[in-house]
Amino acid sequence: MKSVPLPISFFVVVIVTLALIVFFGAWAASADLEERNRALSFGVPGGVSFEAKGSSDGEEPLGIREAFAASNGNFESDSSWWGKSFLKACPFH
Amino acid sequence: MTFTGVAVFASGILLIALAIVPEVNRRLREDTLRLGAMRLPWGLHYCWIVVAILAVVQVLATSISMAAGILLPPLTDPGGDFGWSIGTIGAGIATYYLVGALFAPISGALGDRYGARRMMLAGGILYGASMVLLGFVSNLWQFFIVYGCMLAVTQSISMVPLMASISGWFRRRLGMGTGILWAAGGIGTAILAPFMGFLLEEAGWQATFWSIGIFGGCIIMILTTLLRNHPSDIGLKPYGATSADPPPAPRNLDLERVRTKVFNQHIRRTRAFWNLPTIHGLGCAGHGLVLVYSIPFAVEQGMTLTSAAVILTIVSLVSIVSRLTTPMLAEYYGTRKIMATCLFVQGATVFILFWAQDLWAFYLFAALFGLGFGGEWTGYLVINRQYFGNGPMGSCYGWQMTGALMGHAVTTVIGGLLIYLTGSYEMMLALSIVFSFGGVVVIMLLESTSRVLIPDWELSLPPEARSAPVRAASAAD
Repeated sequence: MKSVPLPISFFVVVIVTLALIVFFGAWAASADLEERNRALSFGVPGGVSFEAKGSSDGEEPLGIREAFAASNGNFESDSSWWGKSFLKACPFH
Repeated sequence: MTFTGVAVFASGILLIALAIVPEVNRRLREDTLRLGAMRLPWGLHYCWIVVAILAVVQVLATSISMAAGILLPPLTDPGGDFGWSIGTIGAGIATYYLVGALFAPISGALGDRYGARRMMLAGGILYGASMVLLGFVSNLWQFFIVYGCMLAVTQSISMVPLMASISGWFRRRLGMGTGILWAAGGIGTAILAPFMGFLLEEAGWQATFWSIGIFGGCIIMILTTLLRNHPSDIGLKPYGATSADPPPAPRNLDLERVRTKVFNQHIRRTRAFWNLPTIHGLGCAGHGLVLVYSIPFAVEQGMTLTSAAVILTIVSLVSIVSRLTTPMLAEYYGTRKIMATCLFVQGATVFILFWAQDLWAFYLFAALFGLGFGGEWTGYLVINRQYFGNGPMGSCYGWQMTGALMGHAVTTVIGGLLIYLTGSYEMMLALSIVFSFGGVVVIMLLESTSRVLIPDWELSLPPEARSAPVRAASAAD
């Protein structure tokens, strides 16, 4: 019986496609969040302003990851479940 | 409430259908015997009747996925009955592709096990029930169940085992058979698309899907009486078979199960088994992006909606030429070369869109793109024959359809995300090119089609399950 050939091209395509989905998904989620933060910094109520929170202590504004960490995962009002998943999975966002 | 009532009614019909299965089996066998005694005029081989039946089924099954584009305006109309967002409907369409992708290998395996005819009967019942239920949809969860799940399963059943069964009807000229099948499907789709749009405008949501469901479901079930699983069912040899060809494999449910299992074990050990769904996925992702977003892109470039819609008409019409010729050319010149050429044309023509400002440029793009698009996906049945011979091909083709539908699902997600993020279509177009050219690269990695990759797979079968029983002298060689 012949040995099983490793379908390298199959795995490469699957991994690259998944990586693209995660990258663009996280990008979209972070863009959503930045847009919301920008809106909040102009005084629009309805959620936690991470940028404002960081700035009020005289610190640098929080990035998306820091903001996510600062919220203790309590992101319900700011991000959808898929946005949170993408942000957790993507190392670049 | 109405939806639930109809769902219960449809389930009752399905249960009755299941209860009368032995009766259906008896009738199917009687029909087969009657048809076996019948001769067609002008010496016409029965394979052409099968091609015609499958072309009709293909048109009806394609109308499901085609409906996605036509459904958008009534579903998104804020003043209409639904008023759902494009994102929500996109999620429904992505669900449809995902469920279809997951079910494709299962329906292929069921086709190998129970035969194309029973699958077609099941497909006809499901088609009628699902389309009628679609007419009753009023809530989002109902849309996800009916369109995202039920119709995905219906299309899977109607496309995978039925289209794969064509292989058994042709010993030679399979390329011509599949070419005519795909081309006829393309012509039917080009006619059915505007007809569905017209019905939705004139008759409304419910009447459109009720009439399509009842009419289409009945047509499929009537045609079931004419379809046969194998030429040997009516005492015929496959088209082009000679006395030198091996006799047909034994027809027995247990033996067929063994044959299918062993065949699938063998094909899974080839690189082609993994690469073909990959290529199909990349190809579908490449053209899926363009087919979905070319019209809004053209409108953004200043075209009117009516003139932009002509782009898809041109793509559909021109693709009929390559749908017809690609399988034929693939049979004579090798499927790899032809598939790679079509996929290259599909990718390269997208460059035109980066500079397209005038209507003629969009139409030129549509004509050239249609040639590549029509040929990119129509060679799989031929290449399966070239690589894997005459084994039960349902499951193998099912995995290739999984690749294709996953390509479409990925396209729906990534394309939408890219346009949302960049606010323009350029990145999406570039990605389409990358997908198509990626497919060309994977084709280059395929083995030559000049020889069957698993010529000796039947040696792993018990002697009684082989199509050409090995004589004692040969076995001892």
